[in-house]
Amino acid sequence: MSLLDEVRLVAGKDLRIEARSRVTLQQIVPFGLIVLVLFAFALDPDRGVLKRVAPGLFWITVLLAALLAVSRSYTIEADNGARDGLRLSGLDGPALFLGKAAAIAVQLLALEVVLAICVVVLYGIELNSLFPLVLATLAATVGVSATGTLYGVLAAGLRVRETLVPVLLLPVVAPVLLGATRAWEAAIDGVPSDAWPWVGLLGVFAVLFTAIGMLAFGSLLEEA
Amino acid sequence: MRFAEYVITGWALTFATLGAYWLRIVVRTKRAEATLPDGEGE
Amino acid sequence: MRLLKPRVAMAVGVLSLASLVTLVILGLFVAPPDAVQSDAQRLMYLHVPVAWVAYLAFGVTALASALWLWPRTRSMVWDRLAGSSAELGVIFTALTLVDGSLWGKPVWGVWWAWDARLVTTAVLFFLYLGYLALRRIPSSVDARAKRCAIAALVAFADVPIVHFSVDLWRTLHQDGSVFNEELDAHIHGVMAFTLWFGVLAFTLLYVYLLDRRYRLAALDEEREEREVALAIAERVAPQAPPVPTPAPPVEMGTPR
Repeated sequence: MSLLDEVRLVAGKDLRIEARSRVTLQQIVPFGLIVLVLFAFALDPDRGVLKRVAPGLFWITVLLAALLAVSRSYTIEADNGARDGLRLSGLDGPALFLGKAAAIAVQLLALEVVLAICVVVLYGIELNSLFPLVLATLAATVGVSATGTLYGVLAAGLRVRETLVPVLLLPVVAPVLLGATRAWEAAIDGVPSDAWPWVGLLGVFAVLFTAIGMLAFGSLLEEA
Repeated sequence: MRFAEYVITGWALTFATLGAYWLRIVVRTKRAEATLPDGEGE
Repeated sequence: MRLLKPRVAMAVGVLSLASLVTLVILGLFVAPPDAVQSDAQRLMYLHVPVAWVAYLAFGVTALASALWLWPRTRSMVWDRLAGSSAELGVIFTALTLVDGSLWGKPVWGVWWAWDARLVTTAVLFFLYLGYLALRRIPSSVDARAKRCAIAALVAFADVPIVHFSVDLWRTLHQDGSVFNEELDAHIHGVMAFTLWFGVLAFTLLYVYLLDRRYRLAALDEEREEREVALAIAERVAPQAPPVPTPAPPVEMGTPR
């Protein structure tokens, strides 16, 4: 099987599990929506702050939801010796990594579409300059998914996995939060061409951490 | 000295922290050495 | 069991103590107050060396992690070194942030500023904390070493990205220039000497503490191994058959 086939196999498995269990749809998406609403409670829409910080709030919400998505991605491997199944499947480390990361990315992208609509409606912003906006979002999502998948497998067999992964993941993806927020701000409210350096940074991050993940996944899975 | 409160706080905190850390290592080392069976270690 | 031979370690320890005492004299008394920053400058003689050690310790952790991961150089020495250096690193990073804050308040009027250097140091602090959290999880020594080594290298790859991203952010906002200019202020003479001397003194301290921490790590590992071996031996030892206690002699039928 080619790498692409293997990746499709693994991603397909994870996405099929989601299609049947609907955890992302019924739990993680509502979580994201609730957080967006809570931000409005905290920041008083009447004072105009909410509109200005909308991109930042959007991306923080995405990051928090990503923590849940990563946790879920490895919870489904916890039962029935599924991790052993992965190890014995004969699939390559890189393929397993890309497959799981892709599944997380797809779910996050779906979530982001929903949240973007909500941010437009609830916070009253307009999504101008869609091209840099979408590119930045794609790159950021890939970066977060890759890094999340990497730390997820690192913590996979540990009982403290759910409290450990956030503490490991969030500092590392700080540049993604920074870049994605600045890119959105530039695209929506500022000079759209200012978004491109950020898109570049997000792209570099995505490529780098995808590469690291592909290298390290197999070895980490052995210990999980 | 101008800004003495900042300067003294900084120097005192820094050396107190490092001193306390060093002491902690020394105490823990002595404790660990005490549990060594006789004849081991350097 | 140790990084340095006992006599060398003692010498480094004494030297570092002596140079730190000298630094106190130089930094607090001999060096003149700065023209612009006045006596607040004296915190720089701490902040810069301590920051240097924080990043040095981080580099050592990363290098040791890489050496552990590389099959041909794999050895518990590297894992122990990485862990010891990380613990030192988190302390020096915390000191960097505190000293920097105490320096910043009198000079720039703020306890904190969002520029590349400060933010990267803050992120470094959290990366260290995560690494130390990983180290505390009980595991087989090899599994723990592998997890920590990879985490350390991922963090190492991230730090320049964090620095670059914050730099880009501040450049685009054109906020940071004055702030950074003052940080890079050229200093000469006694002040420059004191600064470099501080770097030397704290580096010596780092080496000394690293050796001590390493030895402690080795001792702890040994103790754990012994405890595990003891526990296994107790489990495995064949159960001794119960010794029948001799019944007290019963005198029967002996007519008295």
